[in-house]
This record gives sequence, C-alpha cells and structure tokens, in this order.
Amino acid sequence: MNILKKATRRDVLRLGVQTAASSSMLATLGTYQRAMAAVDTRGYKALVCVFLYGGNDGFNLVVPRSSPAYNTYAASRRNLALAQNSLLAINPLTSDGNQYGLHPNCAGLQNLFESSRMAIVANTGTLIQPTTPAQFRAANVPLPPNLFSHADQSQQWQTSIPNSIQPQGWGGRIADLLNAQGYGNPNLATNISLNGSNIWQGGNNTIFYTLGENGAPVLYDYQYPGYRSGTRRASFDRLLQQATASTDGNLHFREYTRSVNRTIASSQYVNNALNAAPALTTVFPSSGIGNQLRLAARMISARSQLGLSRQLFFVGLNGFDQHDNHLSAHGGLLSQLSPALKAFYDATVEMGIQNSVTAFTASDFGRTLSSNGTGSVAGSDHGWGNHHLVIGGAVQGRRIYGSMPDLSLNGPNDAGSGRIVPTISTDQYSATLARWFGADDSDLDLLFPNLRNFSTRNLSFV
Amino acid sequence: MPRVSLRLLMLQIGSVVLLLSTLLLSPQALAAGAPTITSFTPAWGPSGTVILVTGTNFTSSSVAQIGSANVQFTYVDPTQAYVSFGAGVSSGAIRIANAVAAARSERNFVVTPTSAPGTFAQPVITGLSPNSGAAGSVVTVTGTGFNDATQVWLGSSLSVAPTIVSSTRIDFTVPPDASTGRVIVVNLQRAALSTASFTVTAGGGTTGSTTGGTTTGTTTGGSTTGGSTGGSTGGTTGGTTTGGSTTGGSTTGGSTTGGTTTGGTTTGGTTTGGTTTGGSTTGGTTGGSGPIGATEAARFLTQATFGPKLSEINSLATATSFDPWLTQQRNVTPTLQLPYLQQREASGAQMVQAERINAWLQATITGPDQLRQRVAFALSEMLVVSENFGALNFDVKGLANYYDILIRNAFGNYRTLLEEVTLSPQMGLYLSMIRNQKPDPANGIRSDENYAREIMQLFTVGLNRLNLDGTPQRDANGKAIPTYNQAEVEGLARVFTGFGPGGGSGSFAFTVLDADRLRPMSAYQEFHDTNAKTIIGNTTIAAGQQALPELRQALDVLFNHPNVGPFVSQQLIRKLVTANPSPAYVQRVATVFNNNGSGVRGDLFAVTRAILTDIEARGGGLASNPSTFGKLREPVLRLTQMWRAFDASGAGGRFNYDNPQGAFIQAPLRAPSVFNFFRPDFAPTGAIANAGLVSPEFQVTDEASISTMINELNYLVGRYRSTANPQPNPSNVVFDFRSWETLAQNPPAMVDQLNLLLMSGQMPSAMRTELINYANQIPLSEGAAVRVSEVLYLLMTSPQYAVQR
Repeated sequence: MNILKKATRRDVLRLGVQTAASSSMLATLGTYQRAMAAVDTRGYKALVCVFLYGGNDGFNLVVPRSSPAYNTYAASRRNLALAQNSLLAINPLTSDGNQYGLHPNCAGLQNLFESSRMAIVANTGTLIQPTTPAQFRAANVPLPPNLFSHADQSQQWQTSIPNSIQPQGWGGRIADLLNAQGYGNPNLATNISLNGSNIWQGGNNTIFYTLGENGAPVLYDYQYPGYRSGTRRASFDRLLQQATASTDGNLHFREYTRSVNRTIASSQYVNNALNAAPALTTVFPSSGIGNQLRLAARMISARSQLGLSRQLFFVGLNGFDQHDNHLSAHGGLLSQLSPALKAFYDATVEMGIQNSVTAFTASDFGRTLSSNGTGSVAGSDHGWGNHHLVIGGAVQGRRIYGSMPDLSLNGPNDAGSGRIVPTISTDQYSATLARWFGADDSDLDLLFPNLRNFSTRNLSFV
Repeated sequence: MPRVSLRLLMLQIGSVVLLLSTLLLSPQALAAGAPTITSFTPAWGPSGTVILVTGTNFTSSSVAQIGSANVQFTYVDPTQAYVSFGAGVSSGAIRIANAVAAARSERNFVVTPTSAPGTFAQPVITGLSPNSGAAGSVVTVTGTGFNDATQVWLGSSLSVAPTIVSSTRIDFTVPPDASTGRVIVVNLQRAALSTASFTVTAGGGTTGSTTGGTTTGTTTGGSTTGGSTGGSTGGTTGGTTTGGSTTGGSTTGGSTTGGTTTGGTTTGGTTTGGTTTGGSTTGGTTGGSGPIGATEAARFLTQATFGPKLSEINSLATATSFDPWLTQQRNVTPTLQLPYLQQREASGAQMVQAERINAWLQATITGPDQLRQRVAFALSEMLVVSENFGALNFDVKGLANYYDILIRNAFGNYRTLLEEVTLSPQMGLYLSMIRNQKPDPANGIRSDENYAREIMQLFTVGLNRLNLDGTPQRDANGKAIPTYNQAEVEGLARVFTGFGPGGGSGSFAFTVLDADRLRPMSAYQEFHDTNAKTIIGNTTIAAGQQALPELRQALDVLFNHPNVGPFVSQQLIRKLVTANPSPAYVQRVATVFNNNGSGVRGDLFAVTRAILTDIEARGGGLASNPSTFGKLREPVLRLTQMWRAFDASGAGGRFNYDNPQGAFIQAPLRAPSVFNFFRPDFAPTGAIANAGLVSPEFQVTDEASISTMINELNYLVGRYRSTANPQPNPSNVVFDFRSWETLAQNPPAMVDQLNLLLMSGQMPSAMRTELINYANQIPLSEGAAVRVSEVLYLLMTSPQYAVQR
C-alpha cells in the first residue's frame, strides 16, 4: 500500500523546512469520518522501534567466532573481548567465510535468528553519503554534524535529517502521512510511546501518545465522576475549557492545555480498549523493557478496539554508555533485552499477527573497539558504525545484511581507535523499514532526503 | 567594646553577667529596633558548641535563650552574635531579646549528645596579612584548625570561594561590599573570630559599575547590580531597546541604585499600562522608586526560591529594591546536607537515599537560604551526577557531599565549582574519570574520553561556538562552527588521567572506599600521561607536568573559553526565569559572567543577580513577548511551591516523601542520565518547535506524567493540619491550613490569596470566578480546611497554573 499519495506530497515537501508556526491539528482534520467508518484492520501493520540509549556495543553483540576473524577481534578489543567459547553460535544463510556468534546472554535472540525470525544488519550508522575512513580523516566529504555526541547522533538516527532545524522523527512523519490519508483516529495517536518522550515519533503535525508501563492512568475525577456529586469534575472541566478557549497566546500555556486535553481524551479510551481486548498468555520478563514490550503487545492485541490499522511503537532501554565496567554492564543489559524481544515475538505469534509486526533496534552509535582502561574501569568510548537487529515474521531472517567490517585497529574500516566507519547508512536501514510499512519507492527520498546518495535503496531484509 | 575571643568563650570564660556589665556602657546598647533572626549556624551540636547567629538589631545588652534556658550571648555587631551553651540545655528555638523586643528563630537548634562523627576542629585565628586592603584584594589568614572551614566572613560580608591552603592558612578575597570588621572563619560546627579588625580601604567599591556607565551603588553590593541592571536600563541597552527612553533610561536607571525596580517597572508602567501585569504597575507609576508591590514580589520569589511564602511576599512588597533581599540571601548560612546526614547516622538512622531526599526537602521547604538552594538545584541539573548509576546507588553521603559542593559554590566562582565537581569522586565514578590512566599501547588501552567530552559539551562550552548573546556563530556557508574536534577530546582525555581514590587506601586501582567518597580524588602521578596534549582551541598543554597542575591548567583553558559565559548564563536563565530569553538578555547576563564589574569572571552570585534583576525578568519580557515569555514550571517545583505556601511540615521537621520523582518526575541527583531529566534545548512537536523555540520541561510532560501528577495532587491536598485535626499522621508531610480558616469563610479573599501565593496574581478572572463558585459549594460544616484543599487541587491541576511567567 502506498502511504504517500500525490495529494500529500505537498506536505511531505515541507519536511525539514521551517514552516510558519501553525497550531492546526492536521492529524485530526477531515479524516475522522473515514477513519472511523472503515478501519482496515486486515491490512494491519506495526513497527516497533527499540532504542538502546547510550550507544549499544554491537561489536560484542555479534562477534566472529572462527579464527582468524576472532583473533583479529580479540586483538583489537583486548580486555573487552568475549571468550571465543562463550559465544552462542549462529548459522547465517549468508556467508563471508567467517562464522559468527551472539553474546552469551542472548539465547532468545539466537533462537529468533536461527528460526529465521531475525536479521542482522551489519555496520550501520549515520552518514550523509558513502564515506571511507580516508575521506573521514581528510574531511573532504559531508559528514553528519557532531559525530560521537550522544544527543546529536541519537537525534540523527531518529530523524534521518542530520541538519534539521526541527527534530521531526521519521516515524512521526510517516504518521503525518497516514493521518492525512485517514488512518488516524481522533481518539488516539497512531504513534504510541512506552518510554516517554522521544524524537522518532514526533512529526510535523503528529503528536505521539505516551503510556506508562502499566497502561494509561485515568484522572481521579474521571475514574470517580461521582466525587462530590460531580461538582469538582465539572469545575475541573470548566477550567480546562476556559484554558482551551482562552485568547491567551502564550505558547507554553497552549501546549500544556493541549497535553491535558489529550490526556483526558485518550486515557479512558485506551483503558477501555485494553480491558476489552483478548488477554495474552505469553509471559514477559519482569523488567522495564519487558513491561514496555508487554504493553506494546497488549496495544496490538487491542487494535480492533482501538480502531487503528497502523501503529508505531517506541520502547527504550537505558544504560548502554559503558565507559567503565563494560563487560559486566553490557551483559546485564543484554540479559534484559534478549528475553524481552523473544517474548514480544512470541506474543505476536500468539496473536497470529507476527507477519504484520516488525521490531528493530536503533542506538546512538556503536562503540570503540579499543579499551579505555583496565580492570573494572575497562570500558569503551563513543564510536560510529554498529550492528542492528530486525525481528518479525516478515523479516528475511537468518541472514546478515551488508558487510561485516574488518575489526583490526587502523584497518580498512577504522576511523581511529576502532571507531568503525559505517558501510550502511541509517537512511538505507530506516527506508527499508518504511517501505515495508507501506511507503512507495518514489516517496522515500522525501522521507529520507539523503537516501539518494546511496545506490542500494532497499536492503531487502524485510 | 571589648573583643571577645571565641577560644575564650569555648573555655566558658566570660559569663553573660560579666559581659553585660561591661557592655551596657557601650553605645550599641542604646538605640535599636526590634531584633530579628535570619539564620544561625551550625544547626546542631553538643554542649560547648558556639552558634553564630545573624539577624538585625542585636545590641550589646541583648540576652539569649535556647528553648527556655538562658545561654551565653556574645555581641559582635548589630547583625551578628554568638550564642553558646553548657550542659543541661535541650533543643529549641534560639531567642534573642533586646531592650525593645525579642526575636525567635524559625527553626530549632538541635542539641546532640556528642559531636561524633561530625567532629570539627575548633578554628583559631592568630593573624591576618595584610590587615588592610581594598575590595578584591587577597588576605591570608593564619591560625589553626582550618581543615574543615567552609566560610570566611569579613564583618557581615561573606567572601566567595576562600582557598584553604592548609590547616593553618586560608586565603580569601575581600568581598566587594565589605566594610571594615573582624574576620570570621566558620566550619560546619564552630567559628573563629579574629582579634584584630581588617580595614577595608577605598578603591574596591568604586570600581563597581564599569558596564553600568554610572557609578552608583558602590557600597551595598550595588556595584554589580549597577553593572548589570543599571547598565541595561539606565545605560545603552535599556534606554534604546525597551523604549523606556524617557523614564527607564535617563531619569531612574542610573540615578537611584541598581535600577532593579526601575527596569521591570518602567516597562510595566509604560508599555502595558498595568492592564495585565498588575504588580509592576505600582512601581511603574512611581518611577521605579516606589514599593515593589505584592504581585511583583510573588513573581520574583517564584523565580528565585522554591515558592513564595506570604510573609516573604509582604516583606518584599514594601521594599523599593531587590538588592537588600539578594544581599541577605547571599549572606545567610548555607543549609548543607552532609552534616545533617552525619547527625542522622550518629543517631542510628540507616543511610538510605531517602535520607538525602529528606534533607533536600527540609532545605527547600524550610531553609532560609532559598536563593542559594534554588541556584544549587539548577546547577544539579547542569552538572549532573545521579543515584541511578550502579556505583552511586548506595552512596548516600557521597551524593549529599556532591550536592553540598553545588550549595557552597552556588554564589561562588564557576571556576572553583568546576574544579570541585571535576575532582569529586561522585563525578569521577559517574563519568568514569576516576582511575582513568595514561595510554598503554602495549595493552591496547587508550585514555577514557567520557569526562573530557562531557565537561566540554555539557558543563562549559557546548558543541558550537557562540556569540556573547548565545546565538551560534556561523561560517561563510552558514554552518555552525564546532568548538572542538575529536583529536582535542582525546587530548583532554589524557589530561584527565591519574586521578584515583582520595587517599583512603592510597592505591590508584583499589576499590573506592567509603572514606574516599567524601574526599576529592587524589593525583597518582605514575598513572598520569605526561606527554604534550592539544586541547580545545588548538591549545597546547606542555609535556612533563604533574597531574593536578595540568588539570587546573586545562580547566583554566575551558573556563576562559568565550562560550562559557553565554552557555552557562542561558541555561541558568532557562532554569530560573524563561525558556526563550532574548539574545540581548543572554548577552547582558553573559557580560556579567565575563566580568562582575570588579574584573572577576565567573562570579555566580553576580550572574544570579543579573538574571533576576534584568529588565526582561522584571516585567519587560512578559510585557513585550507575552506569547513566549516564561516557562513550564519544573514538576518538583510545583510540589515545593505548594508545600512552602502552606507551611507544610512533618513530625520532627522531617519530610518523609521519599520518591518525589514518582509523581513529580524530578528529585535531586536522580536524573536518568547526564542529560538531566530534560535537555535545555528540548522543543515539543508542534507550535513551539515550529517557531524555533524551546520548552525543556515538556520533555517529561506527557499523558502518563500529567495523569500521575494530577492524581498525586488529589491525594496530597487531603493531608493537612486543621483546627479540627491539628496532629494528623505524623509520618506524613502535611499542609497547615489552620491560618486559613478565617479566610476560607470568604471565598473571594481566599482565592485571591491563593492567586497571589501560587500564581503571582496572574489568575484569569474567569478562573477566579469558577474557583469562588466551587468554594461556595463546599459547606463550611465540612470544615474550612476541606474548602481550602478542594480549591487548591483545582488550582494546582489547571493549565492556567502550569506556566511560570
């Protein structure tokens, strides 16, 4: 399905361009009726962004396990190297002559990969155009601004517009387009965050809806409308109406008023839908990321009740910025991530919707191969290219996409200190996901303005 | 007047009677008004403790009590006195009476059985060198017991950032507003007074206001204000930009003092004519020399404190300038966390993080040093360390000590603050600088870049070069210009090598022991990289240096980078006043950062004063840019504002509210990452982002957090002390509605009072009507407190309240 019809291209062309301030809620204009009249849940699709905040060490997530590639890895990583015999073997259908394994705490991911439900996208990162280490050092090609800075790189991952004035996420821009075509729902945003604020889901006109880990808390006066015979609820509502209708143009005030209105409009709607939706029996690990993915699964389970045929979810896991104590801390996080992603996939199988749900990882950057200390203070610093995971029934799994980089220090992929220059751009990665979600090839350039600088437009992993 | 040595007092020589008999003859005893007590330090101690009390109208014939016991009183000057006590005295308020009336401290002094473990040496001053000098000159104090000193005072002026050279020597700078007087060295428990006076010579004050263009305000610390506000109002900027040319520029700006009231009120008076901005009109009509007015006082206190109290509004409303309040706030004794925790630990309390939160809530709700605490909290959101990090999870006292660094330096110098933060073991652990070592090529090990990168990106210069007004500089192609490159990060990373635990084990690599967590990190030269380095701005750090001098050299380079002034100023403005300050506002404050008027760079008190007294903060921004001025209130500041407004308290002065972040998102030193709870440049999708503006607090404002906060408010407003129930559950924090019972019988007056306290008089009239109507629906038979709490809930949960402006 083409989500970018001609009529909407004018809107798309505004991407990244600073427009006159407009508080119009395009997301809820004109399309209500269509959306409510016939929601196409048969064509349901969901995209789940799993953001690994701080910069996941993908080079310790997917590791060469055959010699001599392992030896090269170990020589670069030194005290950050995982033991060769600890790696969980994977057997990709693609081959570059080396054998690979996953981090020992990733049994769930190993299972997904081996059963063709997961793909690995190698050495992916922010780029403006194809770039070699020599070009990076000579700085004679355009480079993403503020490489190695958390805030900037995680923003570029989520926007795919490195120089944007406004941080609009590509997930948000897709939702702009979906809403403009009637996929929206006046009661609930297409984009749901289970991890608070993020950049990926904010579009030109799209606001995302944030759920707590336990669902949508309902305001006291709405949960107990009979409190003080309804008089306080009535006063509360009138004050909110006054604020909404106020001529006070203060932008902070207007934005907050919108937020409160949205909170009230959505929370009961979501809870009613969740309560009416089929229950899930899949057991999720009890962790932050487990709870987030469990609620995402429940929101998918409630898709009919919610009246949404397209959903974009955002979940997040913090703590990957391991400058110290790297091996132990990274292992701890992966032992939370792996079973949570496995449970999420299992839940989509339980719902029979696994072919319509794709989860993918994103992260600030990869990490340096080289170590920055000894003993418990051994850690890694901010890198660039990184390996990423895509999970779902529609994924062409058990494959590694792109080229696994040469991991030798000062080798052909090294920008210095084992900061590996990406060979796949985030635009290629994200555009492949957007295409699966329904974007048309001709429209991808509008969503991902630098995609045209890369010859492979579709990585075909999904 | 005889000079009383503190040491003598400690030996309990010189009884009250003896002192009185000699002092009654002195002139100070004769004319004075009613005394007041603004603060005392320490807050606790065993018998023998000497307490420094500050206030007004002390006389040599005053007498003192703690609780109901008579204790020894030693007069220093009308604003300072010492109180000491022997055995048999119990905890209680400090009371000082003169011939006219008596004053009682707001808080109790706590008598403890022993001073362990927080035993601090008794400082003794034996000499001053030189014994006279101008403001800005450096004085060496010699004596003993200076290891734990926290403050040096010259008379009633606090010297910022004294340097403890050794246990026998402290150097301090003569404060700009100091006058001749004796020198006092204070540690957390005891104080020493010099026998000789230090004579302040002319020359210090007159350098005051270079930027102001006029030379008013020389004595009372008006020098800096004159510089910032006078400059902006009376000088070039104010005169031209704000169109206050007739009033603002020529008449008032330069002539009175500081132009603090002038700035705000002029604009209020001329532009808005008092239609919306109520309070500032009063000042405006009287040309800036009239009283501040209640609503403007409330608005100012909302920016400068954890929330105004009625007494503070009333007191400030009749003043004609903010200067005395600012000066008083600068001088009031800091409320520190670590001494309190040590006292708790000594009395058997488990050291859990909730104790630290409790200390913070006590200080922010009841502490007298409101401005200092507010600035410290802002700094804690810029120079972030967090309990949410493995190595700091259980480091309760260490984190308290880190927060104390921010409190102590909130009015000090940013350079000093930067060094204390850099060497703090908590920062060392959080950003992995501790045990960072020189490169070891044989083992493939580089130096850790974490702290090097973040001290530049977040603590000093930011990513891109800035103009003085905070806007980014652009190259010929219109692109931002990076402040540093990767090679310079790597160079600075090698500067920050060789710092390990502060001496507990004496071993670089050993585990950080408890004792190390309360000491600055130590240099271990063998782990320090002594090669030459290139750091920011292509600056060369010479080879062969010792770790600590080299670190200081690098901090000097960072501190003197031209970005620091606008970078730090803009963030502090965003925390205190408005999310989108005009470039001119940033420039005025950054100018003060760069030079406080006395040639000092990085004077945070001067910066704070410049922020709060700027014309844009004091009515100009609200009048000229109503659609952008102000900021979404920080979530946890809503809680503190509410509790302060209603004198909330818990049993024993405790605030048992362990997880403020559960509903109010924030708690001190509990950010999710070094990027704080929210980034200073966050813009929510929609109108704000589209206008190129920011509104940082929206990063944590979403459907989930709004619902959670509103529901928690519903719960909190029901916990109060009323006439009917004066002693509710003592383990809770409770509002005190007892003084509202009369007001509750008059809903319009009650709502007006709420409006003043919580909304600075900015409540729209329709909202006022709605709240009055709702109040009238709550029958008084249910109790006046029910009526107050119900209306309070509606106010606190309304969008009308949510923005501070």
